Amino acid sequence: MSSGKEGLQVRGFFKKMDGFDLRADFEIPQGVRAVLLGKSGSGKTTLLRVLAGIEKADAGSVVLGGKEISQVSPKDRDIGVVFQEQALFPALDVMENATFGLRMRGVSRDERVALADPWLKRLGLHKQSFAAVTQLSGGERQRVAFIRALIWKPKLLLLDEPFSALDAELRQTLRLELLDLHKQWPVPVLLVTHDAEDAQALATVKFQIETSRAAEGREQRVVTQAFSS
Amino acid sequence: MKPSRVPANIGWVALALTLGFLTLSTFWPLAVLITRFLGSSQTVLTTFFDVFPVVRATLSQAMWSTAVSAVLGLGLGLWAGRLASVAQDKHSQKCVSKCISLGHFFLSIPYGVPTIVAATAWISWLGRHGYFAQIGIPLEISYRFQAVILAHVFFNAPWVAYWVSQARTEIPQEELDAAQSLGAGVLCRFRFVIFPRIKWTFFSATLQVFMLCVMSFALVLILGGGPPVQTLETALYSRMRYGSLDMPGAMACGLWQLLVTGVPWLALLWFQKKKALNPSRNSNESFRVAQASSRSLIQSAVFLWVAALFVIPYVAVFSGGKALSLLTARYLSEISLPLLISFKLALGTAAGACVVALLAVLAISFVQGRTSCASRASTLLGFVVSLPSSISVLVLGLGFWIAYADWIDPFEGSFVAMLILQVTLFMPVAFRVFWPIAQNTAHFRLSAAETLGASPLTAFRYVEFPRWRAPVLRVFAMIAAGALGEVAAVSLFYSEKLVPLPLVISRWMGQYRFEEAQALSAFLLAASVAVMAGVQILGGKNRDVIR
Repeated sequence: MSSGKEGLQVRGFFKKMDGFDLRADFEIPQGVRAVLLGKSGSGKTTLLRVLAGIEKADAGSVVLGGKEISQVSPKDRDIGVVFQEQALFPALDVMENATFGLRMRGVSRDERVALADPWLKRLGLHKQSFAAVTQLSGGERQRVAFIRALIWKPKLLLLDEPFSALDAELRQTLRLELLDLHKQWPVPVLLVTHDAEDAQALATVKFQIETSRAAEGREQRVVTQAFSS
Repeated sequence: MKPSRVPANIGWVALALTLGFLTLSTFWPLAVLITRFLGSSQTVLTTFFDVFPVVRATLSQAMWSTAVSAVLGLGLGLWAGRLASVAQDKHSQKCVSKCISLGHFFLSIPYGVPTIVAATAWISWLGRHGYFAQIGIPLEISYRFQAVILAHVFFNAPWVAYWVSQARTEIPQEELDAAQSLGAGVLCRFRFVIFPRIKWTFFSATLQVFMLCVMSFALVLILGGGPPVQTLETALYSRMRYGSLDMPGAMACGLWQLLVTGVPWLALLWFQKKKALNPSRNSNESFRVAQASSRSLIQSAVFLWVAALFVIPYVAVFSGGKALSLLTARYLSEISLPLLISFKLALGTAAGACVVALLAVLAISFVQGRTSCASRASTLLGFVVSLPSSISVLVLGLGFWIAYADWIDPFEGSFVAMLILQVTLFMPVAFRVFWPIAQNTAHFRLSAAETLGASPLTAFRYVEFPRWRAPVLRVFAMIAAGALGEVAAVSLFYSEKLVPLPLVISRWMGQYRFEEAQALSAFLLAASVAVMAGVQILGGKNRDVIR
């Protein structure tokens, strides 16, 4: 496991939220799967959206692979995101969804298909390559979302409660598949969840959001490391 | 499929009444019109081809009006939709939300503006003594093709913008964020995420605009100056009510009009089916809004001004100095009867359209639960119920005129004919609002209420009725406002003893009594906008139901 410039460093992060301030200082080295635990509304999804560039922080720096990216637009950050509800594009089929990131990077159609085939086979989706994503089950949609986020080899993978809408058995299966994929593509991962089981199964590092009260009476929430396994 | 909860007796009665009304108001008159035309002499067939230049002019006018409205409406709608997503953010400043909702209200005003008022307003701007001429910019486009297109664009671009904006607002922000995080720029996000989500709404709105432009009557008649700009509607009308009656010519125009509106209507049905298969937002998707930024405030203020631009032309009718003089005994005696007739017509139309639409909803729900080929039967019934929206009121009126000639003398005037034509015209509007509400009936809640001891009626009262109250009121008010200024149906069946208010305005314009016409138009506009504002407030109280 390497560390330092290869992974993600968040320094002096501060964001004023509705009713509280969120602060964070942490790093995730290359190959590490970090899980951020917290209750609903605690600010974990906001932190993830700031890292992805979708929202802006009030202060702090985000360094990925040795490069400061706080002011970089989301499309140029090289960060793969798996959203809570997958956010697949209903107008595109499975193959087109899975290879959308490659298409945006100018990869030709033949190459895209050649690159995606092994991924789809590996996750059992090769028979539905050209099916509409609206015809897929919840688990299948989540698998397409994983492929879409990883296939173009991002420098960081962010997962926003990716298993929350699935039943227990499917969650277990997908956790194993995610671990398997991560072994092959060991990018730093940050997964936010409120589910302790997800954290137990996937985390190499755990973070949590702790609450304290500042002198002015405004609630302060801070991301702290829970323990490393 | 959900089981129908409509009891058999009520279901059969609803089905019979709906089909009975549609047969008498639409199918029979149309069948008579077509068979009379097909069975007529060679002269009539020759007339059919003689009116071809008018068909070409109609298509040209409608295409230009639609193209400009669609392009403007698409741009404005996308912008409004994006801003509306921002305004839904809980961190958004209150003034951003207010600007956006007021802007949306401005965009919705043109459909509440009676066409006769719009025509009066545009004459006030573009006429030989209009505001532009007064400030030394003689546009000289009144009574020309361009004036008609301009008026249509101001009417219809907000309509397209309104629907595109609604569809754009419903795109889950997560999809846009996902595309952006995968490297998609503005154009790619539009191409792969936004356009596929809004395209059927946009195409449907565009086709509806095309049909409205083809069927436009009062605007073309008054702004086109009669002979200078002829469309099928004005040509048909002039053959029936100007000079000597030319029935073969009127039938030829009517048949062409049926062809010209029928084809886009079939395409529209297909588009709407596609739209239903591709809902804007998946039910299981969370709906995350865009994040508000400081730029949003400036943009929303600019949007408010742009939306207000589409209302400004109609405000011109308030500038005449004659408004108070209408309260004098002379004018009051002149307009009191037409006013009473208009109000009676508006209320009767609104009540009739709501009742027929509710019967149609009941009938389709009943058919869905009963027949072996339920899906096809209910689709067919839905098709039949929405058919009148594809037929011009003048064509329907012509059919009515021919089919019921033994009972109705149009030159003697007929309140009943006006009422039935208006109900037929507005009923599909009510149906389009009521049907989705009926489809979302919470059967499990009704069952739950019944297991707790409620009768079906009591269960309906407590579970379903609260969902229906606001839409029924909303539709009632909307139709009443529309019927108050409707011109086509009343133009065919008026008489000297039966002149509704829009015709008084039209006559005063013909007699160069522009100031009085303006004052009366201002009254009609104020009444319509008041109704629309009331509807907005009612709708605001029950947004989930309206959606």
